[in-house]
Amino acid sequence: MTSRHNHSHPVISDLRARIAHIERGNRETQPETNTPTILKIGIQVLDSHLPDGGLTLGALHEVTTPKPADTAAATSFCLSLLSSLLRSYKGMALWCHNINMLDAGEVYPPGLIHHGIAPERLVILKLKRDEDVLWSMEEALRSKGPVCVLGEVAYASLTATRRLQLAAQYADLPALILRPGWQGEQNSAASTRWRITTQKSRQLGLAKTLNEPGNPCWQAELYRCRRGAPGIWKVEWHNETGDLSLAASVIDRPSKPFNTDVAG
Amino acid sequence: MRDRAFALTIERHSQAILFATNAIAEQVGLKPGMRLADARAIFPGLKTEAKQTKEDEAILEKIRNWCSRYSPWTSIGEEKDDWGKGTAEQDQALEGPGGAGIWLDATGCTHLFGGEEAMLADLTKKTNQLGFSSRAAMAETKGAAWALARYHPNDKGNWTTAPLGEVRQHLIPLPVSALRLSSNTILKLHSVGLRTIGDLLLLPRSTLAVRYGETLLERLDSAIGNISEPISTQKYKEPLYVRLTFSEPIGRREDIKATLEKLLLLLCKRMEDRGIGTRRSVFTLYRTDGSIERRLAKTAQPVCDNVILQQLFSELIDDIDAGFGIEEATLFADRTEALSPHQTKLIGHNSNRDFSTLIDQLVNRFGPENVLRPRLAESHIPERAGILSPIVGPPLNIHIQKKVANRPIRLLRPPEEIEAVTIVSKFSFEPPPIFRWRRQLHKVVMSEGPERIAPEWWQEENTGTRDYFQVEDKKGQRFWLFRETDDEQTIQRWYVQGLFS
Repeated sequence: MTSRHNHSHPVISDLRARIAHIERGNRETQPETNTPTILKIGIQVLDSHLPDGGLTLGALHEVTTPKPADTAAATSFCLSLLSSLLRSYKGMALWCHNINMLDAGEVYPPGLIHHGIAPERLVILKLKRDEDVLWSMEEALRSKGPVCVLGEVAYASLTATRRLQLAAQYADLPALILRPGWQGEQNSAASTRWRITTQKSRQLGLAKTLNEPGNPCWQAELYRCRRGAPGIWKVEWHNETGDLSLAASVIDRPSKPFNTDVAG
Repeated sequence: MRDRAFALTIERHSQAILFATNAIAEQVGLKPGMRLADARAIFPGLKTEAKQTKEDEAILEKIRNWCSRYSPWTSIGEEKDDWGKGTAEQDQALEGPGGAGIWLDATGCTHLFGGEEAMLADLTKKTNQLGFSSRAAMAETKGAAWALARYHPNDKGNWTTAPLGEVRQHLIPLPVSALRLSSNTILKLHSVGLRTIGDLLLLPRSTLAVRYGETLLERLDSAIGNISEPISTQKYKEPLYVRLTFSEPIGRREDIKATLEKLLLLLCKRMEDRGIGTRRSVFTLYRTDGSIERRLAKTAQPVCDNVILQQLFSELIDDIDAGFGIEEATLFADRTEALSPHQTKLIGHNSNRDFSTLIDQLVNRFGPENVLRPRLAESHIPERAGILSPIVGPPLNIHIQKKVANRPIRLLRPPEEIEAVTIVSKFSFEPPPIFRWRRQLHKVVMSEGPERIAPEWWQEENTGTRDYFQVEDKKGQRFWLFRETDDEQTIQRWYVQGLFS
């Protein structure tokens, strides 16, 4: 959408910039700053696809799982974002669970370390209702205490997500919602909405020889993006470095190297 | 009840005897310890009721709560130890008004009421208004206060104080039973003509100890002040205690809020002067009908900021029902700690402080058991190696492992048993090729393992030997499976314990 209007009149683009600025909710505090703080996902193609050149920090982002089997992948996606946030910012992160949503189990501290997150930098809140989770998230954002707020809920209404989006804008802190997508689509005011599906892992080197699970791969679908276009990517998470990269070309390759002699 | 003769009775040796009498009954010559039949003969119009221990205790507890407006340290005093357990003769030796009492540690509190006398006058007047007759005394020792409250002559009214250094003079005329002695000791003392505390003080201490036991000396010393006997085990200085009274009872929510604000300001001012902060604050409201409402705010770190405390309390006081009106409010910093310098206001805003404020708010709202911190613990058993434990409370003694093997991101607690569709030999080093978990079949296409984790035999709850596998199914879902075998290697079960990203 943005690219289509790139050649329009300077007045229009100025107005558009102002609207974008107002939408980010910092009209009182910093009237002249136009560059929002962002978090680079770490994949060039994805980052340049996003309107701000990365995930906007002062915004709500929603991650949904199409099937229960994808919960771990979606968790991991959130944690890899959280991990790079905690690397670049000092402070703590808050993760609020709805305990009725723990079919896939609770967060496992050694697994956090594997994701490069020091357990002492995370506080976990176990709550009984979605409303409590949403309330805590908003309260946490407004306090500007944590670096990032994550919430795991079954349902978040349009109003609730709008409130979170505003709170995130106000605090210039990211809010992430992890939500099961198999219970039907919901309206949301989140500025990006992702759908994470688990994929066959990519075996490398020894893992391939021994037929062991390799680097986890997911399909990350950006199905709604404010001020941007949707997109779909295959993403690989590197076990050793904790980085994300694009994996599409590798995933679709036949398992054996193609023999040119036979084909020719 | 107060305008006619009344007595409480108890059963002893299948006889009803008087346990306590009111002032009018005493005027007509009735005394605790008399048989009910005798009492009726003396005064036929006597109204009686059986003593109900449980109800009495409940009422006493209520009065104790009510008394906390005078001092944050209150406790229920013991009754005369062996009253009603021995013979009537022994009971009569324990002469004087009996029953239980309430201790108030008024250290540092009297100035709030304009002195000791004013405080006691207020206390007895208000209890009287509530419908209880009471006697009160204040002294520098616990023993003396006990004795004076029960045995002081009623010349000044139903309360008395023993000014500092004058305890001895006040105790001299009191009977020996004022020393909290057993009835047997009192009878022995009476039999040799020792009736008052003054009589005892004239005798050499060694003689007293030999004849009547160490207890007598201890009681005597604690009354006179030779040994100290604290009421609460707390080591205390002047308590951080503030109060407000209202000439007109208040009831509106805004008024309660304003009251809290005032009290917090006062409290924080005093805490700031001493460089301490509160970790537990108690806000108590006293209704005109004698009932109270109490709210607790706890924080993980000592706080000395009225705005933060106000925020914490504001959610707690929303549901307070003022009833017929609130006449008094107190605020007490129950647990205090020294403030670390970076927590004072001077440094200003920093996000660390904001975060701990947020955590306190969450702990107060959802309870400490729901605000958790992931921790690593020293154990090989996966479910013990990583735990979520409350963020407040004593830190666990934990050894942090620096290097962690590939572990799942989510852990099922407890592990869920799966059905291995194909039979796996118990000596095999492979996971089941197909397994069923939550009614779904999963075909294993990749696997890594086994990683053997031996049981921790030194733990009380022991596990079997486990062989862990990381497997991936056809769709790409990755599991952490384990096989548990018992000591004899006869039974083996398969479980899924975690999910990998």
